[in-house]
Amino acid sequence: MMFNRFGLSTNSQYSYSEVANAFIGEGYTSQAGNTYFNAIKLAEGIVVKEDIGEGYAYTFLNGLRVYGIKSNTLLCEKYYYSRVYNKSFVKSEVIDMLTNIIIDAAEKEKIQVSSYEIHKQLNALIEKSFETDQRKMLESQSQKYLM
Amino acid sequence: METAISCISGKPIGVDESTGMIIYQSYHSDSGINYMIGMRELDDLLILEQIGEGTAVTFLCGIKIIRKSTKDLIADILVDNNIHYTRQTVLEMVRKVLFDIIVKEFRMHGKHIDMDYLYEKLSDILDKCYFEKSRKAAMDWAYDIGIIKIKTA
Repeated sequence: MMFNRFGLSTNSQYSYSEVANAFIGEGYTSQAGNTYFNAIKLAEGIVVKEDIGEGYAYTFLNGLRVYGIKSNTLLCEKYYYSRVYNKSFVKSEVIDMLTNIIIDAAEKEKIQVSSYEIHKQLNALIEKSFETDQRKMLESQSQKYLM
Repeated sequence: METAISCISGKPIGVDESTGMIIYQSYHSDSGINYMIGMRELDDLLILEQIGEGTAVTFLCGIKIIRKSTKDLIADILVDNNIHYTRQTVLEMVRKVLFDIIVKEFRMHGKHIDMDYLYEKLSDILDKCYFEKSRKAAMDWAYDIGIIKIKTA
């Protein structure tokens, strides 16, 4: 239901992977032998969608998108070229992307905010959420925002 | 062009999650790629974006800019193969085309134009068109979870 809300399950069905602690979509294997799939993680009030490509020797991060659950809106996105997949990198990118959009929005609204504080709080929030069993995150976020 | 015109006179079929865009037409190909035409409004201009969405990838296929009131095609931007979709990529392409059209028009009439001002103005209105909704949603989210203390209007 949560994924349907963002149209995330239109191309694929998602199932939980304990190893990745994420919801993994069905893969597509190209003629070149690379497999492409999406992984979804949740944090408080947001959904993070990863575009992943798996080749013979490396797994690549091709893109990241962050959605607001309550607003049902794409908050920020980024595309990567030849970026080897790394969990820590994903976390730091999500934190940076969210910090940037909040700082940008605050500047445009002429609201004074501390980028250091925002980054620090987002870091704590994303760390905690991504370490939490994502099945529990899905349950809690669905109850909070979709009921 | 026909597709573009029929698109703007039709009803939207939904919002695409990869692009945050209102979708007017969609076609699922045998290869599994979902092709869509979406639209964004910018005053009297309609920006139509053609995209192809596959598993873990979204491609930009083309952009058309149409004047809403006259239905004139202002620009038809051809996009190279394998350009990955981001809103920023589209914004930059649209800005370049509109900038060039306006400068050409001014020069044809022998008029002076402040290029810096034009560039800034175009950047500003396109930024609003593409990112304002996201910024508002991000601020509301940040307020809801206690990251910022002031609620925006």
